[in-house]
Amino acid sequence: MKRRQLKFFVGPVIVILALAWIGYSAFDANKAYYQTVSELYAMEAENALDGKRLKVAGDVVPGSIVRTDDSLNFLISQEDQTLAVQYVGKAALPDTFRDRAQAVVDGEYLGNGVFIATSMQAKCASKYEAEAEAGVLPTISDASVGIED
Amino acid sequence: MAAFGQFALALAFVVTVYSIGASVLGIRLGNDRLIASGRNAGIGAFACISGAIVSLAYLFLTNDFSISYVASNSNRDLPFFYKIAAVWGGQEGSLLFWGWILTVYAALVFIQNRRRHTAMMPYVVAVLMAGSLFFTSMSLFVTNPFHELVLVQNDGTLMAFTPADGRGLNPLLQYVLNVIHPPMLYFGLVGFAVPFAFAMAAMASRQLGDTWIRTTRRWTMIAWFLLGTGVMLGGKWAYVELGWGGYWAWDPVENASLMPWLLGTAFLHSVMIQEKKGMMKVWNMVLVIMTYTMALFGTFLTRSGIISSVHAFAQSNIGGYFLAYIILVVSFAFYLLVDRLGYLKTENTLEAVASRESGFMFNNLLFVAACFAVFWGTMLPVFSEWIQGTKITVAPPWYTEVMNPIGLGLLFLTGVGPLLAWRRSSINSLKRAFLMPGAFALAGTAVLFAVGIRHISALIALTLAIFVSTTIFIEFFKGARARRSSTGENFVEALVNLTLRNTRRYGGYVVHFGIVLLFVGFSGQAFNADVQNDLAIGDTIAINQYVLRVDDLRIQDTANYQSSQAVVSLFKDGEKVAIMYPERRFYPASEQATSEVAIRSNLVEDVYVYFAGYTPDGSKATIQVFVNPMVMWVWIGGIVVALGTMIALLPNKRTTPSRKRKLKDSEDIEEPRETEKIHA
Repeated sequence: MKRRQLKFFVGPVIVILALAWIGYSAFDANKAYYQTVSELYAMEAENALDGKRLKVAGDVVPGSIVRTDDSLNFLISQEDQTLAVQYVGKAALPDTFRDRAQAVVDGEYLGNGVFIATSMQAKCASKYEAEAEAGVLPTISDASVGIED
Repeated sequence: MAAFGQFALALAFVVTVYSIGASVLGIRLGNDRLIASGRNAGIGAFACISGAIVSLAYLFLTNDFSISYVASNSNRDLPFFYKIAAVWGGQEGSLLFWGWILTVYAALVFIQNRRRHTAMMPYVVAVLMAGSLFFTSMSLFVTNPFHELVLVQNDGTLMAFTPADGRGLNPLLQYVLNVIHPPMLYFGLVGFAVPFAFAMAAMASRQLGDTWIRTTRRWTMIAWFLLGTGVMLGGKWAYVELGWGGYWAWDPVENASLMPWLLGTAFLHSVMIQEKKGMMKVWNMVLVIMTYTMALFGTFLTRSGIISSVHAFAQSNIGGYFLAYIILVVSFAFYLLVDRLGYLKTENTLEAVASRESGFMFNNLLFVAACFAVFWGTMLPVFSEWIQGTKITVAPPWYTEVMNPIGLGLLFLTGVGPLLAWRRSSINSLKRAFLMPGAFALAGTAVLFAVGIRHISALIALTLAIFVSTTIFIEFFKGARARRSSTGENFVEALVNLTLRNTRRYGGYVVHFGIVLLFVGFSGQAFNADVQNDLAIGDTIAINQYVLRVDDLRIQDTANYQSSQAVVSLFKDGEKVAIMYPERRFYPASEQATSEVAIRSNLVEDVYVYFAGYTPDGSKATIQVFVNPMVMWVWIGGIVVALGTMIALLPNKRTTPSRKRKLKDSEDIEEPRETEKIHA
């Protein structure tokens, strides 16, 4: 690299360093640990949680959704373990939030299986999967059995 | 009809394999008839996959629920257009559609260049058809949309099963813009295959002048335009359909479409240096490879279920195939690049920091940094799980904090870059160029500050917006004035002819102006407000200078859904300005609820009313109201960008010989030299 070309690297290097620094310093305030319900309990057992911001994923237990005046309570479960969630967020509930939806709650774990969520995302389990689980339909597979027209 | 589709798909597979084989063999043997045959087979593959698409559409329109994909994505009462949209509304169909679009581009490119670039074209055919082979194989063997629906019975045997009705298209997708949003996005993503294929062909055939860049410039722009429009429509869809009051949430699926757009934008800019100065040849190769890779990667991200997203895509086993394919593409491309480095020597070096070249370099740096930041944030859960065993995610504010300075930097360059001279700019010319825009910008800041805007990045964004707009207007004004005095046209004629004679340059300015308007819209976010409450009929809710009153709550039924609607009167400063109808819908076919927000939009701000549902006792409606300033400018900016791109796509109006001589040395004028060069 010729010396006179060196000056063209000063600007880009400054820009890259500045952006890296911004990215790094904004990181702590915005990071969250993403876990399933059972991973959460596993971490609790190892005392590895201490005040970390968490995102926990699980399926909404049918019939568990209860509204109170200042919060919305429900259970999410995964692999037979359940977590009681108290949603205190300001935002309205997503349309997709209902029994058996896959929910991701964002907030803090209080211990004893209770979670305070300040935000939440949800998506629907597909209808057939849910019904198969509930025993309404036999399992459906779309594996090929050949095409007959 | 499913059998026909299946047959068309199988035929497409055979024809595609033949097309690749014939092209490669034709190159080896120098056999022109074999090469022509390979190319024609590629066009044949387009015909075959078109047959498969038509057959799938037919199955949807005839409600053939014996087909698993149709049963999962449609129902009898679904309106006609949504049945068409359902063709690409789910996993299997969308992959078939992706592959089809690739053959559309391939066929168009083959026909366009059938008598041109004879050394390069067989490679282009081979590369494009190899891409097509992957998607055709996926549709045929892994995600076949023509499979029958079967039940697994208790004894483990399979039984064909035709439900009385399908389970319906995801209601969130039942929105008119969503009929065109995914196709736009796909056409955009897939379109980058064209410059990629030409780049590979240029390297393979050692034709490494700027022919491949000049030939694909319009294709790249079309892809960039469609992808950008697709992203905008996605934002619009999120805004009116999801009910959380915003248009962008840094969701992985949104990021997946943004990343190739960012790299594609970098590529569109940096090719100009290669055309003009013969610099950055290796870098342009890297950019085009990465842009196409990101387009594939985005498709992988949204289909594989590797990252959790609010977008409910079917999780499936296709991730592995995609990853293998992407790795194959990247390794092949970079192997070729390393092997051909000797042919990609730069013809010039940077001379001054204050130069157009240097401006482009910073432009590229920031676009690539933006893409990297989005990539890092999106993929962090995956990487952190590999390294630490725990998934770490970043919340949307992280993206905002990182992208904010990058966006402002790019906005600044939008104003400065086009005014910098090639090679070096003298201090005097800089002063001349920036005195007026700088003065306007400072005066504008003072006014904004005086009216009470204190939000620092909004203030910077608006200041830069004034600065950039001024530079653009001066360019048009000076150009038109010079033209008027030399030709005697009136000012408006001069303005129009100026633009039509150098569409790329002036279309580019219009695009830049659209980007400025987008930033004006983005800066409005700094002043968003929202409020929420449970309201009975007659109750009111206040926000900023607005008061909203619930006048009625009513229920309606249609074949496709049941709706409950609130009738809300909007008062501004005590005066009734609108009646709004936020609504919730319930779709029995898919057992899913959606909301239809009511939006009152003007150039200053949007009042956005969301009907979140009834309270448990059913007496009150939970209503959320957002006031979002300047959102309209985001959509207007998008439209201006689209218009600018269309101008830039126009062929230059022919210039008279005497003017052509004069213009020859001026910048950016396009010379139709690629054809001569190739035949030489």
